[in-house]
Amino acid sequence: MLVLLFTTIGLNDLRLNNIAFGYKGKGRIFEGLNLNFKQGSFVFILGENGSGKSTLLKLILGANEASSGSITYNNLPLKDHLERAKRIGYIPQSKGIDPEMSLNDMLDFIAKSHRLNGSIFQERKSQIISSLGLSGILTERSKKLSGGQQQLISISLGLIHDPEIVLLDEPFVGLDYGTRSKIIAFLKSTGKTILCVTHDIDLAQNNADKILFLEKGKPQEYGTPEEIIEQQPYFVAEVDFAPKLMDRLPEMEEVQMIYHYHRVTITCPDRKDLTDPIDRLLKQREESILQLKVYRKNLKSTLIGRYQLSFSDREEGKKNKKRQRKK
Amino acid sequence: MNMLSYILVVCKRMWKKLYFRPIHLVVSFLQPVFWLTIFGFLFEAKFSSLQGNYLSYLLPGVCAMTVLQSSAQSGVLFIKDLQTNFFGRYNFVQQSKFSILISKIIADYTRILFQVLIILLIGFCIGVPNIQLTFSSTASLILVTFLFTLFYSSISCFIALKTKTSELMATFIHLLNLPIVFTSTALIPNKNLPDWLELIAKYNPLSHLSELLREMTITTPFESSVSGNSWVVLASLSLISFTTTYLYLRSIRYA
Repeated sequence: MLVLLFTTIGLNDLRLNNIAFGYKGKGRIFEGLNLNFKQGSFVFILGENGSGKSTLLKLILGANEASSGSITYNNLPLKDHLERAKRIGYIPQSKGIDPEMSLNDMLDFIAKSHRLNGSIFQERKSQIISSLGLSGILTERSKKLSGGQQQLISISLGLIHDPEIVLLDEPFVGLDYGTRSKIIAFLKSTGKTILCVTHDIDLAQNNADKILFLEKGKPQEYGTPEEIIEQQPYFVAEVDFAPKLMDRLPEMEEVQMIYHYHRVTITCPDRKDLTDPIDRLLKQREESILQLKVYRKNLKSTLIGRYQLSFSDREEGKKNKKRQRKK
Repeated sequence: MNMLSYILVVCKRMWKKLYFRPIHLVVSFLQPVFWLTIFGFLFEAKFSSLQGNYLSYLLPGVCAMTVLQSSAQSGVLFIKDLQTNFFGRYNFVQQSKFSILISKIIADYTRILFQVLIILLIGFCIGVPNIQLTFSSTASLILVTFLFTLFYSSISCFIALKTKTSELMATFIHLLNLPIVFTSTALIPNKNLPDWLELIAKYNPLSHLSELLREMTITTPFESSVSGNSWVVLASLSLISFTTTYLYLRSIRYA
């Protein structure tokens, strides 16, 4: 009853209160950052490289220390190293496994490091092994396993002590679709508070309870995928052009174009604004278009359109166009 | 209880790694054999004026050298863990940094003690005279090798954490170990050294270890040539180096 009450009023949430942080000599990344992660929610953290996604995880972990502000869980500050280790499970981007050891030995080592012994450990171990389908590789030395299997080992090591909060830093890199789905289904079934950093927008849209989009340390979006899309829908088209005719693309108002070699990705809030200029283009330079794809609105097009992701690509595209003109 | 359980699991990991790569252990036994047979028999005649037999003098010195060299390797596992990012996991387990460091050193110590006992056995087998191990001398041997391991493994771990690369670590091992060995009384009696080396050897921690091991394992009373109480010197050095490394480990944050 008490647990239900606490959950309802949000006392068990993970909160970041007025956090400020910056790496030495690189200026502030976070300034006055306030976030609330509801207990049991699966939150995907998105953003471009350097937007502060991994730094945010490291702040919660205690690997980075905020210059001001506090992080609380269950309304109590997460200060002590042992307290954090007990409550948080971390799955790093870089696997963090010993290539000489087997999964069995590593689980034993990490579990005992977490003061987990006896039947509780055995029970926890069997649950994780069966859920992640690791029984076949239990005694194999991890250096003999594939990258995907090593990633699964890394995940199992982060979860062995049954943490309440799980932090994942790009855990799905190199994993096939089936394995990803299996891991996500398992993580969701645990009912833990999960924060997952990823670059895979589609994966986030399909699985997130909430999405946090960071831009230069600022949370620009924080809501369910549907909320983010509905706030300001965008459409996207990918047009492949013949190289010679790249510079003949007509100017389009109110749309964003990202040039990448011979492909132009065009996004705009209105489908008509997007398709009309392309239609005109098709009539004018029919022979020059190799391929045209128009997507219906989704999280990817919304975020690309709204935050001009891959801005550097567009700049590069402009430079290419200039070079071609000079020639 | 938790700490004991943690020490055991760290020991288990270290021994298992040795089992998969036994070459390190084999080499650590071969080297002393070479020292005893080649160096020992070569210089036996040269040091015939010695109070006792030179091989009896050399055997504890070779044991001390093994403790030095094996302790210097302590940081290597830290380096490997840093390279594979397994080290990051030490930061997110429910163990204090003190437990992490002391368990690692104790695990290495079990290997070093095993090596010392095997070398004494090899010495006995190849006919080194006057070896004697009583219950009290064995207990003292266990303690003194632990003190030296604590001292030198801490330095090795500190350098590993600071440099994070195996190349620099190897440079440290070679650069530091060789002068320590040759400016000590581990291999050559003090009175056979030049004056300036004799002075260094008096204060060299390896000389302290060698002379304590000689007292404990050999019945011949060799003349002491070190300055100060060896127990106090080794205990102080181990306390200082362990505390320094522990404070450094506590101050760093990895992810």
